[in-house]
Amino acid sequence: MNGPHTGVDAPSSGLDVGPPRPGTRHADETPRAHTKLRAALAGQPNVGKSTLFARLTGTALETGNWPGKTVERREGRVTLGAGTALRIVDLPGTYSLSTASDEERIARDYVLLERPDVLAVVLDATALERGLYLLAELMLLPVPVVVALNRIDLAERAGTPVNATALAEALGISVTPVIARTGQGLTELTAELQRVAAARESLPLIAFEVDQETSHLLQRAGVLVAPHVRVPYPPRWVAHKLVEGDAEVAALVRSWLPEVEHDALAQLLADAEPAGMALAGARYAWAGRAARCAVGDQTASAGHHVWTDRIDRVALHPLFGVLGLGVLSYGVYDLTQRVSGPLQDLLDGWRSALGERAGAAAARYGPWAQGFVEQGLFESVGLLVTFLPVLAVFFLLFALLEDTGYMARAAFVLDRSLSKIGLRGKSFLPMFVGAGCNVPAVFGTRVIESRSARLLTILLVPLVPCSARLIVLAFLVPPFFHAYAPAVSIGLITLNIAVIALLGWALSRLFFRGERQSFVMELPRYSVPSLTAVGISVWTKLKAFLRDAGTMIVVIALAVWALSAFPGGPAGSGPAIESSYLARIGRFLEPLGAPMDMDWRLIVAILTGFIAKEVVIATLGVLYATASEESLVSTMQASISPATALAFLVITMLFIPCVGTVAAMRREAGTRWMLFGTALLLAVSYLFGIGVYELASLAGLDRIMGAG
Amino acid sequence: MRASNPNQPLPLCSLLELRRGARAVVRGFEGTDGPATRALAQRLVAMGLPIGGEAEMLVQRGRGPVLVRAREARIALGQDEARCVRVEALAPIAQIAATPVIQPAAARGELGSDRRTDSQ
Repeated sequence: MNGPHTGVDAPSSGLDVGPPRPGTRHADETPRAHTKLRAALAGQPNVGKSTLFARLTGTALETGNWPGKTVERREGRVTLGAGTALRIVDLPGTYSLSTASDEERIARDYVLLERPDVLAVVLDATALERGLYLLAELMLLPVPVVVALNRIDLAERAGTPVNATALAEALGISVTPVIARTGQGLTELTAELQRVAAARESLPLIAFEVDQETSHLLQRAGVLVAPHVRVPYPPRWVAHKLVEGDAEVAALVRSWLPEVEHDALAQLLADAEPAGMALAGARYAWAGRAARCAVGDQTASAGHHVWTDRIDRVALHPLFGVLGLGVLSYGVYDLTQRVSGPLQDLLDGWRSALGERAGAAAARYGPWAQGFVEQGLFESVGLLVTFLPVLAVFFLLFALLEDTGYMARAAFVLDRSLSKIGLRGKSFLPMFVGAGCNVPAVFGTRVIESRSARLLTILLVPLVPCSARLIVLAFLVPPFFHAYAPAVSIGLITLNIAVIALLGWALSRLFFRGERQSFVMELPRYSVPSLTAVGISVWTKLKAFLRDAGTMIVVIALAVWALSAFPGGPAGSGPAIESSYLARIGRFLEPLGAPMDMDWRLIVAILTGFIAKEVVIATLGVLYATASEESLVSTMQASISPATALAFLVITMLFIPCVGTVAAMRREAGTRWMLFGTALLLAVSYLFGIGVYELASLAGLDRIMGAG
Repeated sequence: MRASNPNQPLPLCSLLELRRGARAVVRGFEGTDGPATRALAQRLVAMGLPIGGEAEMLVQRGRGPVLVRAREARIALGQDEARCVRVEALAPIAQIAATPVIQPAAARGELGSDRRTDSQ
């Protein structure tokens, strides 16, 4: 079909010349010990890869990050019986294998450098050609490949059943039909993985039909680089990537080739830009041929998309879509509070009971030991424990929503508004998570491809009022503002959103000027969420929270406890704390609070909010030295004016986020951006605190409240 | 990126100009920022919008992102991204059903694009 220009890029065209290298193809290595087989799972996003991974490994998995990258790494184990096990690494979902994103780089580096024994490529039977496009890239890599053909049931229902045998024949590799959602075909898939991994079956070399010019280019580039290509890179793949214009491979080749030959290569590639597209076209042509063998010429029946399109008519509507999103978000927060509240109380009860008993047991080592155990250790660790129900419930609801495919729609309808403050639709997802907890929200910014949009989102996420800050609001607003309490709470939350918009607008113009953020995103088909995949997602997020934020929270909480206990004594209240180091810091900073009529106790409360925002309440409880909540509130009412209280709340809402979030910011954005973000929030919260106090005084807030 | 082919007999427009329900064939990617357009092109191609591939406009409200269907996938693009995609509009669906449309012969630059699955 390509007429007289047609050439063929096949390995016979001289690309695999040069001295034999270990790793060019797989007839190379000694067979691996069967007990240590390693497989990797690759596939495009939204093909059901995570569900398949969850089904394969169940709970036998480890999660972490790819070294040096902020991309989640998941590895699981499948027991094959007779003492053998298969380790499966879940590679990030990628559309292709360029170096446009960390995900793609990780996927290709893992396959090239770590060399799994077998690579399982997940294809969506209802979008076969596109999946085969990625397969065409993967089959250039020197690892045996098997295909897991997912969603065969959906393809059948759509009127385009896929013939797995015909596909296997067309591709020359093993194809196993599976239904990840129900688990059908998984036994066959693991057996196939084991067989191919053990045999290290070599891959058929696929031939692409390309125009003569491109074929010539590939051949020439291949001949030039082949003698210099280092292990483990396959020369043919290197030639393809060079023609595609892959910067990373170009840099590698530059380091391999002598100058003269590199100059020749550079000359050759100088005009190669259109060839990159021709190569992509050739991959699609190959994919199309294979797909036609498996599906025939039948086209999907018209009813196929109806449901998704019907829901999208509402979900993507500029008005109803946004309204619907508002209702859904409110539902998620409300449900989170309702479900996690009682759980939290229960855990908190256990924690304090355990703490008292442990404290009593430690009492024989002296009052310091008792204070340390009861107030230091159990308070700080307990803080984490009581946080878990909120997070677990919130993450569960979020994962359910995400797995239905809805969250991509939320990004779509909000893209236009977000683009005005330098963000794009994808930033909404981490922001949404931030309303539960800022820590996973900062990690959640990984879904944003562009660096500047990711940085900006990381800087803004701490301003999303998390559930802990809402607890502080719920505790402090009613006693000070009586009938106006709901309005004040809503006003404070609105202020945070307004500050996000303002800072986003300003920062995107100051720091990320001229960096055009792009918005390209696939909206997956709606589907019923897979509970296993949702469970794994929740567990992964909770574990990341405990691991990344947990340690910091406990350490800082202990440090603050020590500051409040020394040098006076461990009692933690009354005269002891008034002479503590913490109080001295507060008094030192008192002049800063003067414009808002804040004394050192409020300053100390704000500072201790650094551990976790709801600690603010505990600190106030200690500093205003009362036993029950009732009297704490009345003591505070007596000594704090409503205007000062309002300023205090504004600062608490906008202040440096908790230590867990700061740690997350440092890990995701680096120390400099973390420091910048912290300083920025410090300045913003202080300025807004003073501003709100002045406005409130001008408006005579104290009188209004006094009258009320 | 590669500009539209000068030999192309039919006028090209950008994907952004398609109305809801309209269908078109992708002919190239064009933008002021070379490297960015190139990266965008690579991404869109891998997501299912190769040169020679067909796209159907699903959501186009004049403002905000657009949504197209391409190779069984729904792809959302911002206005600027959609503007970079040069397409050749196809006749409305009703007409296609009546008279099968014969695609113009492949221009040199579009070799390798997969036409059979793209046409009706």
